[in-house]
Amino acid sequence: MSQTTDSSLMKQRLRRNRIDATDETISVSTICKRLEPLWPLCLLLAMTAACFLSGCNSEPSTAPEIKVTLEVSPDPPQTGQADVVVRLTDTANQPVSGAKLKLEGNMNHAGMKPSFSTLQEAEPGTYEGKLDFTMGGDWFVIVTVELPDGSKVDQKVDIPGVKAK
Amino acid sequence: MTVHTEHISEVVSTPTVSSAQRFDLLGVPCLGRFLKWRWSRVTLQLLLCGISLIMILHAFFGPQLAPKNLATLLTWVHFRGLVVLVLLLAGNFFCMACPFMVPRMIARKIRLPQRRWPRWLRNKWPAIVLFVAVLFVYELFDLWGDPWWTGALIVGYFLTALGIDAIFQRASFCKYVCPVGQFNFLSSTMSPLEVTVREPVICATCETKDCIRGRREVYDPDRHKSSEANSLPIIQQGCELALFQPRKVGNLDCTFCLDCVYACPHDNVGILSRLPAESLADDEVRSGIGRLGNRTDWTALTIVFVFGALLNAFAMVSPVYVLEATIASATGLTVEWPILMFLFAAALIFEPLILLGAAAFATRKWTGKSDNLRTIVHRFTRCLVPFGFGVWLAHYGFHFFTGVLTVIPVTQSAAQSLLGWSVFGEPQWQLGGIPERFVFPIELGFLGLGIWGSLLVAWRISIDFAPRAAKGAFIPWACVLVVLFLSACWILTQPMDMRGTFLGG
Repeated sequence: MSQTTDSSLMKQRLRRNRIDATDETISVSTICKRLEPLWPLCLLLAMTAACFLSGCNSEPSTAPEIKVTLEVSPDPPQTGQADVVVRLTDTANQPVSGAKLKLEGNMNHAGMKPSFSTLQEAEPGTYEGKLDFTMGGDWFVIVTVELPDGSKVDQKVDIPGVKAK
Repeated sequence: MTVHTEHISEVVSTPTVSSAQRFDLLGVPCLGRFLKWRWSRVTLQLLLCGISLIMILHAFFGPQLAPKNLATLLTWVHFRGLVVLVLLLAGNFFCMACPFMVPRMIARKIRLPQRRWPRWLRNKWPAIVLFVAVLFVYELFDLWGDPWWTGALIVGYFLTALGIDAIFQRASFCKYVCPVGQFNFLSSTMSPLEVTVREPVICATCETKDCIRGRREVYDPDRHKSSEANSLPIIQQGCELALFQPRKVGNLDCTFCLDCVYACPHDNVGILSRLPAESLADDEVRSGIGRLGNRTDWTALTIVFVFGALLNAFAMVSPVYVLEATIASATGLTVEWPILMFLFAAALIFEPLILLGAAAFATRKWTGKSDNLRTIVHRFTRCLVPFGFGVWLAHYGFHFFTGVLTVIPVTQSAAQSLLGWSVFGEPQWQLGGIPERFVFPIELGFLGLGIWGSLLVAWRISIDFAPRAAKGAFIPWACVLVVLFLSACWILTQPMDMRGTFLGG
């Protein structure tokens, strides 16, 4: 009985010892053993990286060169429905007609719902429609052009300083 | 022995509500069991680390359009929003699940750090400098609209945490450097839960103090050599932030790591309910911190937290354009950083100096006390924390509530471009969040809660400071709070302009 008590006291006394980091001699095998539980994380990381990298190796763009000019009315733009005119010209500065145009308006701050719009051709190379600016601030519009031959062109146009009403 | 007796009496005399009367999160079926599981924290950290890695990869290799990139969206909308909401409704669970701790954990498995954090840096000044720097860089480089730089910031954060904690012992990064951690510490004073002792009497009779010292393997003469008796391996570390549970007050400096819960041999530490903001009024000596009234760094941190909240919100509304343009035309400046520095100095130095100095002066005059102004500012500044938290809640809550569902189409789009097929379906871009007209009353509610809490804390501090002239002490600080509250309401009613490029660059 007394032996048990002594042993327990000794254990308690030992546990009371101040804890400091201890120097350790570490071999490669020890490191590998210690990191063993982390292999699923490494695997996940490697897989995600591989996916992203393979996703980035897309074919170089063969889209035709199209000049996109976007005008917004009122100018300077305000929140609410705005009139949008997009002019498409080719490298020879000739209007590009017969295209299908879609607009996607986004704020430069994440977390805002985008605005979408489809434009109609009013005259050759000139497309008109409306776009809803839901909040004041800096916007950008992605103009997606589908040409009569089926090829697609995306162009980003910045619209800074949309004023709140 | 004398010391031991004094310590016991101190612990026992601490007025606390018995745990039987308090809600204990660790007693909740399933959730409590999960949290008590030794690997729960690591599991949560690995989960968030996985999400962080996806964000980093998307930041560098995904579309460089903020609304379509997971790095900008999750960092500036969802993470910030969820952090403040979880702090309001529960506690500092984001520090618990901090992903930046995973590389450190790996590094410490390879080699334990040998150095102690420099004595002259054992304060909040490094974190304050970084806190202001992050706010400044956020405004200057429009980080909310830049996926690449947001990714770089996350990587920088990982490397800093790893670098510091690989060299220095204990939780040096969390306690002295991490600006997000300091934000969480101050905000968690408003949380309804705290990691604390269940029965103080049990601590009074505890001899091992494993909650702070950690638990070593028990000496076994059959397995260990006698020479190893003093250096047996640690099987559960104690609090790395030097918070001794029986003398810990509130949530300041607590990362909810639950090391004390796992280390306590008496199962006497829980996550208990408490009255939010109550600990702010106390000026007693806090374990690992000391007396807040003597800590200039804590006062400075509180000022940055409160006035930084107003500045951060002000920078997103229309009038800031006018102000910046006015300064630019008056000074002839064509670059933004000096103008921004002026705004920061005005908001974080001159405005607090004038408001808090005037309030301290009035307090001294009306109470007839002889304390110097600095002491009074140290004592009362804490009462601003609930209001400051209310402003952060209103601001981050706005972004979160109005854009909560945008994570769905962005994730769908990321998966689509990543894998080449719509594994989660076509992106549902029409998903947004709660309309602004419904979010605005919620924002006002947060501000109202904030000022209400601040007034109550100010009153409590006033009674302690000048029991016979509490009104004289309270009125100046109530006036400061009303001024700040009105300015916050004014900011909220301004058109949210999502301020971006200024002066064309």
